[in-house]
Amino acid sequence: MSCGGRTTRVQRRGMTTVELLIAVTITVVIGLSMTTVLTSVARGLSSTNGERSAMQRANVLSHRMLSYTETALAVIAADERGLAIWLHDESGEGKVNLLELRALCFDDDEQMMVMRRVEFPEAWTDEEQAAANTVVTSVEDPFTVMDQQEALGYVTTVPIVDGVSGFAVESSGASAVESPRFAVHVDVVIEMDHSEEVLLAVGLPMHMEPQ
Amino acid sequence: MAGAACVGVAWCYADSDVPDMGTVSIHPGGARGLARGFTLAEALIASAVLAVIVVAVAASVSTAQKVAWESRKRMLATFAADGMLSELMTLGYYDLRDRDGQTDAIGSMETMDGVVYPKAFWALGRSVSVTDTSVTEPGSGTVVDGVDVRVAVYDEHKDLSVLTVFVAEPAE
Repeated sequence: MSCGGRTTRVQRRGMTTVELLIAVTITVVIGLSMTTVLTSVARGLSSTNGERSAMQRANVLSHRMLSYTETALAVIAADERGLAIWLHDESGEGKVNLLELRALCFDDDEQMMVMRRVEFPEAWTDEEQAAANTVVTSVEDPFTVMDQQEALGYVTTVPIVDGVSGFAVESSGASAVESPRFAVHVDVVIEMDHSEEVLLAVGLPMHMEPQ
Repeated sequence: MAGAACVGVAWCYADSDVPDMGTVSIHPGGARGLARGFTLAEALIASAVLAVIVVAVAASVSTAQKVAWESRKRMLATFAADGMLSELMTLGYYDLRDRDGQTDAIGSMETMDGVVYPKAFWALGRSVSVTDTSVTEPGSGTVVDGVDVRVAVYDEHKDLSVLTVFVAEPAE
């Protein structure tokens, strides 16, 4: 080809098969390495987010539990179902009435912690409320009592925190009602099929046993 | 374009409507011969740029992970401090003093009743101090004697969570 009186003839050869194969191999190796690195980074970040979320949920549960136990008088039942808390002695008789009971329950199916309490209809008179506000005796299981009240439509349930896959309690005394301190083991979900166990210690400074 | 000075070759189609791409140099300088590869300097610069990018990305990911780990430890430390303080408040005023100097070594924290903390708390230790103090009520100016109960949860470097509460001496 002539161009301004000068001739440039350039041989442009393609790549040989070996060069092409080497180039493809290098590209594949780099691509795979990058994919591996990026996947592990993404997994790490996702796991970090999951852990942060799990810790925040455990923190919420810790604060909610402490807010109840700081002023509670006793825990009248504590097992894998949750904590049945005698919150205050409104009647002044030293007995646990239905309205003085709070049940921090572990819902295994929904993987969440909820707080349940008895609440009678507002339309009821004071006499009707007082008549229904019966004493929970020491032989009764407070969780069963709560279920019975729920069947009657008198229980309000408030969700506390979700993403809880396990719950267990250890009491400081021979029984829950005698114990002023509890070690609550909670499994908080980080990712699907991956939980972290957290221990939340709670004490009852105002502890007293019901009559 | 015919007869014009030619810089590069992609524009030099003077003698033909169809450029002969098979014989055209792609170098602007109109170099003759085979297309040249990268020089050593160019390759080194490219490698250096790539290395800087890779190092920067790795460093930021590493920093993010470190921050997340630190934040997680602080949260667990708060649980441990809150828990100990809550347990201590179940003791009588005069029993509190017996807890002064109580220490759980790093990795072996227990509740007051001997329940071992799970492995999530492995990097943490805890100490309790109870010191005599008195506070003056702002309104009345009354001086109230009592103790400061201080719970510190730490890792091997520093305190991560410190909680202090004043407990008044019971009236006689």
